[in-house]
Amino acid sequence: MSQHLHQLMADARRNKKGLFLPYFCVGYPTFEASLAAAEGALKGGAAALELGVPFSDPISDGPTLQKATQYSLDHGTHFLDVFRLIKALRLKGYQQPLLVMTYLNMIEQMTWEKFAYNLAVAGGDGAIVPDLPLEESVGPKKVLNQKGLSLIPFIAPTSSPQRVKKADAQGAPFLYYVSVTGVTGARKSLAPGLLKTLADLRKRLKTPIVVGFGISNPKQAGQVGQVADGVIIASALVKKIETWKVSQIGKNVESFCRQVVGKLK
Amino acid sequence: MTSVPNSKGYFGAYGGQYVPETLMVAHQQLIDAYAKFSKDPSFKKELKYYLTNYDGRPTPLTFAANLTKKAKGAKIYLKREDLNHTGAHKINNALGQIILAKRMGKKRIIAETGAGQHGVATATVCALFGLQCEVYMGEEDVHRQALNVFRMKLLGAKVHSVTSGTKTLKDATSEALRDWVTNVKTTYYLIGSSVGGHPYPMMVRDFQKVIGEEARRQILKAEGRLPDALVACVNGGSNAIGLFYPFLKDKKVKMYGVEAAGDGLNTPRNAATMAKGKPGILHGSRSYLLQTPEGQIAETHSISAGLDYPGVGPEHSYLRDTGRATYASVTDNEALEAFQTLAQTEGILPALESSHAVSYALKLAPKMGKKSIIIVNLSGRGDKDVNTALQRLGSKYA
Repeated sequence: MSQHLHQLMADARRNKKGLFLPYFCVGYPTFEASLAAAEGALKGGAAALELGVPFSDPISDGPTLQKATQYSLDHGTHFLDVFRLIKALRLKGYQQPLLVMTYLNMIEQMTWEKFAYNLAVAGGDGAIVPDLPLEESVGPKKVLNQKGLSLIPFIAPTSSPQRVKKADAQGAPFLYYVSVTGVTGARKSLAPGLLKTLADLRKRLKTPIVVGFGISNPKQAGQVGQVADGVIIASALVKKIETWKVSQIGKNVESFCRQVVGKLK
Repeated sequence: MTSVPNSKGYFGAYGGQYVPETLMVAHQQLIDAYAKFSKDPSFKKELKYYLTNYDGRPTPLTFAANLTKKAKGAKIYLKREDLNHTGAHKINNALGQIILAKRMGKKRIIAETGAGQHGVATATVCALFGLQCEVYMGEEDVHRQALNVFRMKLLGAKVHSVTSGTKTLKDATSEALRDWVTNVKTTYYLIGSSVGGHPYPMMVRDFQKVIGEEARRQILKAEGRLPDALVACVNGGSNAIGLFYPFLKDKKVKMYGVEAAGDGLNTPRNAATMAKGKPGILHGSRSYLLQTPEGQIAETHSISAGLDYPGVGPEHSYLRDTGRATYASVTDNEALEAFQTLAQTEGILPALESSHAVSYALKLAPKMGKKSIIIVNLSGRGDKDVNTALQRLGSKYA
């Protein structure tokens, strides 16, 4: 698994400091713009990135990400573009962990072996696959780990205590906590009881917790960052990118990330 | 043959439970509830009561004498699922699942629908049991099947027109899954075909196997022997698995699943998953899928909205790989031809979905001896398709 990502998350847990892990859709609105966005985020203090590869049937995603990923697909984005993007960031000298997020069918068609090879060669750190449950992840995890890559398990508000325990026992660098029962998308307010749940989980679980789904702005990120080891913003950021001029995306993402990271201190 | 699926929901290499973490507990609750209630005599009794006194089962097995004469070969029998209440086999499964949902204490029911038959069946049983009903339907299907949309509304259901992706059944299914992820605590997802994560493919098969159980008894009574071949249209494949399942151990009974070839297998406009697809993961299970080499789900086409899904039920993928069933396909034009033939020879207007099965039976019958017997699953009636037929055939009958 990715030692780098492990170390980063373990340090966050020890220092009680929430990290920022924004999401970008590869090829949205263009490949170059998604590269500029990723670069802006890393300059702006993002600790790691989640890079989404569009899939035609994203069942975990709400309208914003559906629209962005469909747009990216329609404009010719391919799976290999994510490796190209990771390689480009490494060539520019960025060291932060980079995770690929996509749906299982994409990886199965490529095969886990080739996916792991491509990701390792490009310089990536791991994968986030929302429709791959723990029960089916033994083989894929082994393939990734052999290449020094991580598979990130999910836990949700509906997860039974046994499932949370099982996720915690995976030895993953972090657990992706789905903050709402629902799809991705910005929400006006945090899920009721979220902060208390997270505080409890952090006490009980040895694996660091990163929270995603429904976190919309620096203020909410700051609140969640008090009780979690990391925060993901996806739809809210994609929504902003939608409104920005392509030439301004890098700079604007950088300044947004600075705001979020400022709240996480 | 060992019993399938196994405890993890696999039919050989197919099936499984590939769902987001948020839904894992809901699937487990469903597995537990189904295991408990399906063995409960009072559950069986209640289901039997509604199948008999509300739905009108058993449905007849009709000897199609004129069609047989025309085909010049095997005797053709029609399993008359078109005579079910609401006009198709979908109600068998809807009744089973709604009784389960009620016993699980769920108050809100969601469903996906393609042609609208499953949506109508779900809206119907929700009206009957007083449960709130919301149906997801692709925008393209909403236009193609406007009459069924209105029927659902009349029955008290809310119909969501889905505008994402290809605006057909696969997108309606994705949207229903998104609803379920959001409302999982209160909501029961009533899946209409033998697809989805475990236990759905098994459960839908179990609620549809009444078709094959009846057909088996009926043909033994009428002919004193088992049929030589079963023919059913396949997309998700619930009517086909319902007919096939009780005959699986009867090795001499051949089984033919008929997919939609749309404009033809040599064009991209078809929905023939078995002929043109590769195994992959969609909507909770592993099965054959129409997809690009990279794994994007392909666009499909069929004249029949109920066959317009890029996947197929996992048990069919298993039956295909083991060679127990054979999968063939029929084009839009061939299905339309059979639609008219059955109407004019037997006075039965079949659904365009079922017309695919009729068409294939007409090809198969002449290759078999006159003493051979074919059972065709007439999965639904064609009233809902009259508009589509009018557009395609209107000038011919002007």
